[in-house]
Amino acid sequence: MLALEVRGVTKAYDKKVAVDAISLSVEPGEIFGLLGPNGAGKSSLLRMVMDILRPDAGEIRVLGHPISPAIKERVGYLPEERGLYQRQRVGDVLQFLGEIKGLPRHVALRRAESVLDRVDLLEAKQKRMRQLSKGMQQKVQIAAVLLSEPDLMILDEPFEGLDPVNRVLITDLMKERAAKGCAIVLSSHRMDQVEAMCRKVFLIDHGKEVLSGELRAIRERFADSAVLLECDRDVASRPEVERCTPEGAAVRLLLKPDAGPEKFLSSLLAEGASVRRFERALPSLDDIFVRVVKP
Amino acid sequence: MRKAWIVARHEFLVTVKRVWFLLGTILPILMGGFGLSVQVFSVRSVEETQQELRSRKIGVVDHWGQVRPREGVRVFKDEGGATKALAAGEIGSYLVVPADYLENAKSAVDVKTMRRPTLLTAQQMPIPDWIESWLLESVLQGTDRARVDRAKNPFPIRPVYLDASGAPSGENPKQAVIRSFAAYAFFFLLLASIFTSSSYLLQGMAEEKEHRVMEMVISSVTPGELMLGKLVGLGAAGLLQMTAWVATGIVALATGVIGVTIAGEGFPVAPGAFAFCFLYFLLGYVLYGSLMLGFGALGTNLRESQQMAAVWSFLGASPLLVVLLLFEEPQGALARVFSYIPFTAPTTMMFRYTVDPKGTPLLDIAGSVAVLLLSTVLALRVSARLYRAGLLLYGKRPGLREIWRWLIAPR
Repeated sequence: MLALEVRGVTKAYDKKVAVDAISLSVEPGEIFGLLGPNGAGKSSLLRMVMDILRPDAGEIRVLGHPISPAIKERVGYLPEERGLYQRQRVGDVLQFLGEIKGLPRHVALRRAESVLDRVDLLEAKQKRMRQLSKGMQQKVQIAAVLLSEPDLMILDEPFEGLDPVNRVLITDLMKERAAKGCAIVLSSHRMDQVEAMCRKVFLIDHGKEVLSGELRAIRERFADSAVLLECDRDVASRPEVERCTPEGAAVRLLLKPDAGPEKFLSSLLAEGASVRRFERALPSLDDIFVRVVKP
Repeated sequence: MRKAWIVARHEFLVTVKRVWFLLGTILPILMGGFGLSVQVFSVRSVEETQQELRSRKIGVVDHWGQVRPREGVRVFKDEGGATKALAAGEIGSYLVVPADYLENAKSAVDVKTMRRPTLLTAQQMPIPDWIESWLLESVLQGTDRARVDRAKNPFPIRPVYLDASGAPSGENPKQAVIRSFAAYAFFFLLLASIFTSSSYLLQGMAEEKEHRVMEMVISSVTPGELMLGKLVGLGAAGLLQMTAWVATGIVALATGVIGVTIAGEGFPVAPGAFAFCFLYFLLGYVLYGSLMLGFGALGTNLRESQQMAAVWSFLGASPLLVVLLLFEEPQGALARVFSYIPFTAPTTMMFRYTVDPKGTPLLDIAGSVAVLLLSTVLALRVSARLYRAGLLLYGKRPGLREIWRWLIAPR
């Protein structure tokens, strides 16, 4: 049984098509990266999965069933536009969110303490939300998602506002949930996080699928365009170079599709450059994102 | 429905636990009680002083020369002596009866007192009640006793109201006045409770929108459940506040703790009026509450939400414009028309029934309830659509065309 199955889903607002015939599937225990630039249609797609919006066409099955109130109780959702009741106490907010996820009151209360402990915020239980920093509030929101011990988690930019220590904490929590069989759909602009956590990714742009599949296979597909170079020349502005990022003493170059690595090296050497290191590299997800997303 | 109940309980508890709710409930009671007590105390204090002055002898400077002697009256030859006695506290006040008192009907009797005229002391001079009849007896000296007595009270009124058949209707004008005041009080209580609860709804929703809470919540409950839960929870909070005020008022009036009492007067308001008030509160609240939520959801902050919801407040308060006509003609054409308009029906019907419980036709009661029920269902449906669409609207106010599209679109 798939944790999430989206088949040919389309959604238009007036005449603008936000999501155009998207199909994807996520297996239990999988951390699935949903990528795309701003306004690509990710949030609309996730809102349709959560039954906040209805698709114009296509079908969505969650945990093997069409979405229903009972199924929604097994799904944790962290939306992009999020916040919590600022004037209420952290413990009360979590208890309420747990109850509307179908937990009995006493269980919601117990779980609230447990998840707060997991995100190192147990001492904040009696504090009001507005007394917490942005990062702490973000952790409370993630705690709210974990509260019902969901079988599917949909997280839209979960690392926003978190410092590196807390990013690691949340990453570990997500991996722990995945190890227990929970599927996670991770929508993020932080490609390094997606790269570190996801086996499969799905890239959407202008509502349409641009890329999808195993991350490693995708990177290999784009392998001929990335090299690591260490030389005595500034190559960032050369016409063959699409993107140049420093990587230690070397630079990681993303070459334009028509500029092969061999041809590029030959031209460098022909110009008399002193090349200390030149090796083919797997492109980063960032590189691939820049390559395939149309401005 | 279970989740709507969870939302209702959450909204109720969060609201009633707020310091401002407690202050908003208790302060008006304390301030009202304090203000009324101070006023009653002031009135009593002035009355006691006036009474003390009245109990003293009254002086008379009689230029007319025919004032009859009487116990409690001290006659002075001139005003100098009277003023000295007044300053010494030997008399409470003195009268100066002019020489042409009998011949000139326009000549006045001066009442001289050393009390400063104020709002309260100016209402009633510190002179005994018997002065008027004593002077009348002085004027009518030589007339037989029966005529003097009748002249003192020539027109005592005992109103008798007849019904269409000519039989006494049993109407008591005093009770009719009390009923009118009660209707007025109900009218304001109903409006205040509807709009107090509705304002809690608006504030709560605007806060949720401003803090981006909605999407997280509606991933677990449907917008319909959320709206219903809010209506029930915050309506209950508003009703609790109103009940606290009314109950305190009734206890205060019944016990006379604030110096004013209705005990012993009889309470002419039909018990059904209270049930009516409650029924119309519920219907009116759901109607206005759902409309305010639906239209309020279109605003991007509290100020905009209040502006969008304000139109309903004006409609609800519109019977105030014709309140005098409702007093005089509770079963008149305008009152009946207002009873069948959903926005004015709750206040108008409650008003009509309280003022004239026997005369309010059953048809109008059933008809207005039916109209209200239908329009409430319609308002809930319309508002639920606007609410659903408006909840996810951040930082952008929709145009009329967009609102219309939401109303007709499936979702």
